[in-house]
Amino acid sequence: MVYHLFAPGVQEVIAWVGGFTSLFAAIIAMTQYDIKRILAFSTLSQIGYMMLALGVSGYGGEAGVGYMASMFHLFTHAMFKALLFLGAGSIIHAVHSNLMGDMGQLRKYLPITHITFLIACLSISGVPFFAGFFSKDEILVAAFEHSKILFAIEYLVAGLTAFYMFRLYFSVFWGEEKQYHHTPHESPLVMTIPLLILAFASIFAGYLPFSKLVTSDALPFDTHLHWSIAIASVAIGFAGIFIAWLFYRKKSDAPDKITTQLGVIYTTAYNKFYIDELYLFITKRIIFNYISRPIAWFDRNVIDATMNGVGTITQKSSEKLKVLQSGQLSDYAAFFAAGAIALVLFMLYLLN
Amino acid sequence: MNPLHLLILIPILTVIGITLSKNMKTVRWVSATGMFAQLIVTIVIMSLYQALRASGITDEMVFMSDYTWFPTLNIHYAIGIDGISAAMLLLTGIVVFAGIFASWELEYLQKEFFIALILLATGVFGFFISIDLFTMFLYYEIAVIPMYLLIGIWGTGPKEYSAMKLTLMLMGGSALLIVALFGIYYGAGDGTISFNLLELAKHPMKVEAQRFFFPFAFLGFGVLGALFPFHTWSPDGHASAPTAVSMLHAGVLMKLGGYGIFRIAMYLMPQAAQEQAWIFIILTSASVIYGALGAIWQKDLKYINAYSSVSHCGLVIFGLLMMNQTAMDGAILQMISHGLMTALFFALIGMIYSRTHTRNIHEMGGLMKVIPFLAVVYMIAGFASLGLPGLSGFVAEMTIFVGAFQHGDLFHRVATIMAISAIVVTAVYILRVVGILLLGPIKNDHFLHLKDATWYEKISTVTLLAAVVGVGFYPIWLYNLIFDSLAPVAHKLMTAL
Repeated sequence: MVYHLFAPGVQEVIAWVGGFTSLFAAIIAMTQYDIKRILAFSTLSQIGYMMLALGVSGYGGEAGVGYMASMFHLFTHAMFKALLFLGAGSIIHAVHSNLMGDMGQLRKYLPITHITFLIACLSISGVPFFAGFFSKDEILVAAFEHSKILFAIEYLVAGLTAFYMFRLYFSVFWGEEKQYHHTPHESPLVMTIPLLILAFASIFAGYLPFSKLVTSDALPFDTHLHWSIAIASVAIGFAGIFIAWLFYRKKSDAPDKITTQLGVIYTTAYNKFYIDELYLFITKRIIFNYISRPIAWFDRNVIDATMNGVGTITQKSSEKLKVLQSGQLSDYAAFFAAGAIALVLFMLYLLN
Repeated sequence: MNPLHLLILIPILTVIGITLSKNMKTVRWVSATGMFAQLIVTIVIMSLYQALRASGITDEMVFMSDYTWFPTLNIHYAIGIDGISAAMLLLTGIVVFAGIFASWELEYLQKEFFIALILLATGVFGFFISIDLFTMFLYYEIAVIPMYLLIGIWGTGPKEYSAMKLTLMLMGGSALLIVALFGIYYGAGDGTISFNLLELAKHPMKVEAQRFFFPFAFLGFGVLGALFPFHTWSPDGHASAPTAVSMLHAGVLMKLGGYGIFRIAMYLMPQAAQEQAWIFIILTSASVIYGALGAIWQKDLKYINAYSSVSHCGLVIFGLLMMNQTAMDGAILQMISHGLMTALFFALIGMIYSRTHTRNIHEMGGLMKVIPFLAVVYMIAGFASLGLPGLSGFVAEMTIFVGAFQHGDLFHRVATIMAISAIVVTAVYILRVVGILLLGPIKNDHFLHLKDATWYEKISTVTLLAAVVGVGFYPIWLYNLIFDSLAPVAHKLMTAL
């Protein structure tokens, strides 16, 4: 609200940064092999959605649909993302590895994990009747009304989301069976019961009348399904699922062929656009080596040296001066006489 | 009887008790009991103060006593407190109490150590309660001089060098201070010749005199507050000092600098303060960032913490220089917060050192697995240092920056942004140290058998930690306490232009 009233420019920035983030993270997620890393980038992407929704929001009633949608998606996302991560934990527990390359055909061994994970994937991809469909639809509506470009970005990302989530799903639970050290077994109840609870939430959380509960000005308003947008988003979602099904349901060369064709683009995305390397470069080389070390050196060798210098000067000058304390009476008599003569001359000068 | 007298009496009695003790055990327990009593007295004074204020008394200073000392020079032994003094007394009480327990394992010349330490504490307590400037200066010297012995005899590393450098630089600061004090003494308006703070406040100095003497007072106290570029006594001094001495010094003594700037330099010379603030704002912003950047590169735990103290104490003076009530409130809160935090850090570092016999972070690692209690407390202290909400560091820093941002002009804004960016740098070095030191693989197999905290170490760290968390979760009482006492100074500063 504050932003909307006082800094609409900032809100624009938030919306565009959110849109960019969701696209950026989704692209990276499509290339990763570590299942947790995929989920992590997925989270980044979904949070980009939420930021975008906040950015395009107005204030009060219908205009505040962006705010409401953002909070709604936060809520549903919490459900299915938690489910996805816990499911990933269950999978990792079974195969003792994070990498998709070590997994395959797990639906035979982990039935509960399989079904709940599937429910979460369907939810995040915006398949109708699951929670994610409702919240994502609201965000797309809010974006559509604000800026067609942002809507287009989010529309694309919805498709990418469906694709990479189902790439994950098909590679783990279908695909090619791998050699397992020991037969994977379903996780104990203490792990599967939370999965079931969250699966329930991932389906039904979307039915909450969120616009009556959380709005930008705390007053309830009505929302309804925008059929055109809903149908379009479901279409691209199913397109993503379909492509993932084609590539990953069985072992196939198609993904590798495409990655070689994409060449540099693929490598960059796979390396997360080198952001980690960039940050490490800035902190390690630039800040650490070129800023912090000189400062530490300066402190020790210039400022401290000045202070030490004061001490050294005092010492050296006292070394030179102590010669005056010779203990020789004749020296003292000489100084006495010289001083007395100087004083007399000075007095004579003053008196004249 | 004025409860403030107890603050001087109890330490003196403790010192006498230590002198009469016959063995190490008695020495420790006498010190502990004495400083525990002192802590209780500071808590009682705080409660009495708040009760007094709640009953509607609005005098600037309360619990006042005044004894004529040198009538010809109009020097009195005058004491009294306001909210800020009460808060600083409480801080000192907590830190000294924790410090005694952090020194429990000292083996060498124990009596002398505790006597010197408690004398130091007496000086600090006396400084915070003094209203007469001469008395204040006297207590300041009592606080500084034992540092030389404490570091030079019981320290580690280049202790004689560090002790000498620290004492001489702080003496240099005192020299500047004495010039300022005489300037104030002779320069008070309407022919007043007095050292009494309240009286001097009623008779402001001529502006020309203020302009001359303000830098002396500011820099004199600034040296103690580790103001760039006079801060170099701090890294070596803290690194070579024994644990309790570092705790007391970084935790409390460095706050004397900020307190003095606020109480004397800015209160008695407000016009000069407003005019010359910009020079010192540049110095303090530099101090904040410089200290933080310098800390990143250090490998020795104590040096990291010392540079961190330079940075945080710079922030105190930065807040004071913003000269509005919010920022100055934040500065005092930062004094308290940092005092507790840095005392906690030094205590922990001392405990880690006594186990691993190294302070080089690269020689240690994975300590979380071996000494979990100390490691967790270290992490929480680290979070407090980088300003995590819920701990005291955030409260103080937030208040300072909110107050600093109230200045709309470019100069102040740029300085504030520079100081704020130091928070990021702080996060870098704190998390880096925590990661290298506490997490990761254990580097040295000898460390596998380290013992976790002993009962006296637990008392020491938990006291400080509880205070840090307490201020972090419930700071409003402290904020209000300080805010009300800031009114006279803030009023003077704002009407000075």
